[in-house]
Amino acid sequence: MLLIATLILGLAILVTLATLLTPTFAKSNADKVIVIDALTFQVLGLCILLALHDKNARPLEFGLLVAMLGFLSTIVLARFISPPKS
Amino acid sequence: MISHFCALLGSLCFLIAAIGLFRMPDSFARIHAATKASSLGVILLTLAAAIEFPSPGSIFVALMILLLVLLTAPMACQAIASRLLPPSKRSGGQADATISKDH
Repeated sequence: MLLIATLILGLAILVTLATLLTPTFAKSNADKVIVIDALTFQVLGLCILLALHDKNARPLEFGLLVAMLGFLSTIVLARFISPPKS
Repeated sequence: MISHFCALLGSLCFLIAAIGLFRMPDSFARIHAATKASSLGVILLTLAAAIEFPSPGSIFVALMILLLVLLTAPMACQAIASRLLPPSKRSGGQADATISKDH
């Protein structure tokens, strides 16, 4: 069951990365920041699944670090979105 | 067993978030899809971790992850969404409007 969960999460990461290939995404920077935000959550999910698989609580702390870094990177990258003029 | 079922449900929430990100037509709708469903997935996965590791330290770390994600995900969402509006239409955020004059 844990293997199925890992495969589903990997599929979710692939679908999120495939979003970058769609033509509407190439125009705006905001969508790329949203994709990075979603990817950090999914990497956090992978850290927790690694902890469940190894029966070892240490990767949970990696997940805590990933959550902090994901928040900071999203805030910093959101500064680079140029807002519309009018 | 229960923790693995929670992990499976959380992964399904992440998959729903990814499909929503793929199919939504608008940037605001994409923010909605990516943030809310991912938050639900993180809730279910930290619940799975807290069930699997019943020691107090592990439950504390899982609660810290949950608290951090639930506090910071709406802030990150708002930081992206406020850049999608022109400065004249934003409510509040005077410092933000002065920063955006530089661009």
